[in-house]
Amino acid sequence: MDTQQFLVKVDPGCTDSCHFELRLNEAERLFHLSLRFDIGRYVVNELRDGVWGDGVWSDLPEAFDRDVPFLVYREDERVCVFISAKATLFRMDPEAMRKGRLQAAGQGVRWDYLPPVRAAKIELAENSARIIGLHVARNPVMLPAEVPPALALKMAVESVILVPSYLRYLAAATLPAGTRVLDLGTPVLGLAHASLFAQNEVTVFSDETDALRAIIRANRLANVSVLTINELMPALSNTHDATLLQGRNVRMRAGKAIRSPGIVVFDADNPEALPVRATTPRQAAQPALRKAGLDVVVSLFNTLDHVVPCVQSLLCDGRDDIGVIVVDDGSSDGSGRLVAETFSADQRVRVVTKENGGCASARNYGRLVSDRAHIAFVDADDWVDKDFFAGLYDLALKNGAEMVQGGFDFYDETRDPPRWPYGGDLELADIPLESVGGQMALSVPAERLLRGQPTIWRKVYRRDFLDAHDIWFPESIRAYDDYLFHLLTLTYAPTTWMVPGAKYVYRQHPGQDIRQGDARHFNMLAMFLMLAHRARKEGWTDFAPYAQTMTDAIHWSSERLRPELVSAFLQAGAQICVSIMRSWGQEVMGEAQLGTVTHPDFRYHLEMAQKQAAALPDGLWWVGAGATLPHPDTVRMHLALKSSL
Amino acid sequence: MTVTPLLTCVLTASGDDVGDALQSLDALLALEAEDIEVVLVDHGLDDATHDLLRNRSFPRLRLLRMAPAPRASARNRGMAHARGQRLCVLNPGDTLTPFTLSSIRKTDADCLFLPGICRDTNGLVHPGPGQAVFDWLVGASLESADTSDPRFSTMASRLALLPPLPGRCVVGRDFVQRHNLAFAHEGASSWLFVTGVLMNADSLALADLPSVVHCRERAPYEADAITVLNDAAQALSLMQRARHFQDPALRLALLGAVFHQLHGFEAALSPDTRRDFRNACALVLARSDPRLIRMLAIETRRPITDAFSFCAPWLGDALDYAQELSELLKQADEPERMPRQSAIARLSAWRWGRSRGS
Repeated sequence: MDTQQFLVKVDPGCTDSCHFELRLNEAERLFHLSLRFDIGRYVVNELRDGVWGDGVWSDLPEAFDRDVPFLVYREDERVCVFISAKATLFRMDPEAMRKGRLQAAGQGVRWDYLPPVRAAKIELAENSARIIGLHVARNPVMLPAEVPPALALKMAVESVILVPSYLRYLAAATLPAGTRVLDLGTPVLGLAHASLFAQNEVTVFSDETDALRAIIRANRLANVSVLTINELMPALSNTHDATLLQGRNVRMRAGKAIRSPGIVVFDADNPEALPVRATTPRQAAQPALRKAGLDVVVSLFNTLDHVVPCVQSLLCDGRDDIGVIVVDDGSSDGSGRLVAETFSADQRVRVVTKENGGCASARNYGRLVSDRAHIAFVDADDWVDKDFFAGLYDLALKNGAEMVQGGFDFYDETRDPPRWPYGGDLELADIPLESVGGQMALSVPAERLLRGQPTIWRKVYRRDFLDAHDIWFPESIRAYDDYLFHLLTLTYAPTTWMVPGAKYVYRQHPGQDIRQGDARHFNMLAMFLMLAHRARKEGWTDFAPYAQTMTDAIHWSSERLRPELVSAFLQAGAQICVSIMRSWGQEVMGEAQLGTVTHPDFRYHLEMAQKQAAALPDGLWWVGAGATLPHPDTVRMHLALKSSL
Repeated sequence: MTVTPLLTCVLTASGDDVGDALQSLDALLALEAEDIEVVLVDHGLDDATHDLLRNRSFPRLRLLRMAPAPRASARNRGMAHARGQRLCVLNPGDTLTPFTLSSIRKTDADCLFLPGICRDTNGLVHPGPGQAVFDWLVGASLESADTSDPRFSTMASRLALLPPLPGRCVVGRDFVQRHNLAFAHEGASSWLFVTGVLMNADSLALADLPSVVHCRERAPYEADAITVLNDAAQALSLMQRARHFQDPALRLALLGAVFHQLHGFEAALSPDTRRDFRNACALVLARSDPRLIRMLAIETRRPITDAFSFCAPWLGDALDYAQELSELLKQADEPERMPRQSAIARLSAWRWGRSRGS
């Protein structure tokens, strides 16, 4: 059975007449409904080959409201028009129907096609038609024979025009469970509520009590009752619990009674208005109070064998101004518990636990929970020489430096000897030692440290320095996070003070993560993009030192990556290099820097990236445009993509 | 209380949007649904506000704390810690409705799209952005489809026209993990995530009742204009490798949706930054698959834009905008493909050189 249902509404500007029709073309209008307000009648008719047929005329009801839509229903060749209590039937020519597809058309009216999930259920007999069901909030509702045609049509129309806005209201208002619902003359809304919220009691106030009770019986709705409109006021005056009062023009009709506490209103004539809801007030922010002292943050993840000696080495004799915060980043080997038990008697050691989020997140978390003015970050598998941090912190207090660092040694238990000094520090031998309050130290310019190994763990930082420049470990990348931190601190602090003597011992692991050759190498590109974005936003004048560091790192990674990732990596690397070249010029990213990357495909990708947008002008906006594969997460999405090949 | 909640809602809160985030949290708690877990990621709140949230007594609220970071990173963290069978990422201020859970229970589709409503700053409710798409799909009786259904492509291409609001879809947690779905970390919009969902989904469904409340009709990104382009570039790059890219209607719908948003964004910029933004948009196009640019020809796209006119009357303008941008690139030569032989020869020479330590 082929059916269509339309809700048709007269345009507000229409004066004398209007029409709605189903037609094949201009000359073949197989169904034509014309409303003649000038003579108070309407007619259903057809136009065949440009000739009008004999129409079926009816009187428009005296109370016909142009603002209320009416229904047109087609079932195969039969069409029925529902206006007020009357259903007018018309039969189209089935032969003519086969000539093409019927299109709805009209003048002076607007119409909506009702899909099956919103349409009323209509029963067509030979000479009569009746609305026998509705869809209310997607649920079918039967209308038994006791329901008068006018009420059935009103409910069918309201199920289309009122229910969507009512659902929006219910969705946004979030009424408490057990809310009492008082419906004033819009039974469709009452039925919608009852079908969606079985725990709420719905009372419909209407003059059509018998018909509505028949509907309730037929649909076995246990939580709906019907009362006459006169009984509304007593019901409202007895309201103590949460109550929803709904209906058309309900505020006016209920008057002062709706001012009772607990009553919220849905006015179908003003359906956009929501009840005011109390929300949690935001507590005024208190400025963080920091006390003098140093917290050494140890990021811990499954390092059972090394963490206790690490923490032990950090504690300085007689110094309760130097504390240790061990951040257990969701360890599963009990290492956090072990530290807590081992140092339970020592007030200087604090263990905090969080859900796993990576080393950067653990370091940041430690900083967030610390209340001291200086901070340091240590890996749980390393250790320091005796009183290492006491020496750094004392110097930081004496000269107020943003950063103070010590020396460091590598440690690899498979080598002989296992401990050896970092070569980069030996290159600083030309810098003279100075006395700072009786303590010997050297002032190292930032540019001497920029290209070296990032060593954030052998430093003590002033918290307000980090905060002022918004320097954090980027938690979105799982490698190179310390590299960015390192570069940023060196950018904002022109010198780093260094204390010779006691050293930090940096343990080497043969299978250290970044050596696996997987997508984590893309973290490096993401990191340099973050740096470049910051440089653009803050207007750094010189990006040259970072450009050289970047091409060094691209070269280093390209030699270690798995073959299937090399091409994508070089393409993204080339795009970023071109972005930097077009932003800061060839002096910053030119042959001197690009020549560092020796992989032969890099040149090809570079040329491609340059050609793609050769017509576009230079400018700092290039940095923002980034690359198509800047982050390992994006790479992993590509690798897991359901592709066509 | 069940061990595994049905749904995890990921919310984020920072200093800028804490008011909206608290509003979302209040509304989610008011639903009194034990099947909802809320993961709230604090990515830059002050200590006092963090403590206020930590003290909320809601058994299914999990609070994660991270350093100041873009919202996308916070969302990725929240998704990594979700325990629910399904997952929904909400903008601060957005919330679910009493109908959401029942809609989720009715389907096991990879992705359930939620028709929304919008609550404006005056507290009034309106149909949510993209409602025409839902109306069209319901009218066409296209409320669910999988890839074996020939109408899947029609449904997916219409859904691609929705504004890229993450709260618009509920996805299976295993689906997210299987396809490594993530938000572009340093980006500002949800394009990458939403594109990943559409490009990987084998089955799609619509919720039948309004299921998400948007705090107000806002742009899907509130950040640096040019950063937004990064997201667009990544989303387009992902799309052009996907199986569904072969469908021209879906391809054009996504391209149009992206450039519609970019066009809108450009209109809101001050004149001094507009030129840079246009150039950056053109760069995104330059880095896209040439097949996308060819789709912009009027005769190629007209049948598709005509078919989409009900859901997306703006599509033609958006594609005109993209075509205008492609004109900026005209002076550049067509990039050449790498000659295969010479590439292999160069690679062997390089490897040979490395093995000898040069």
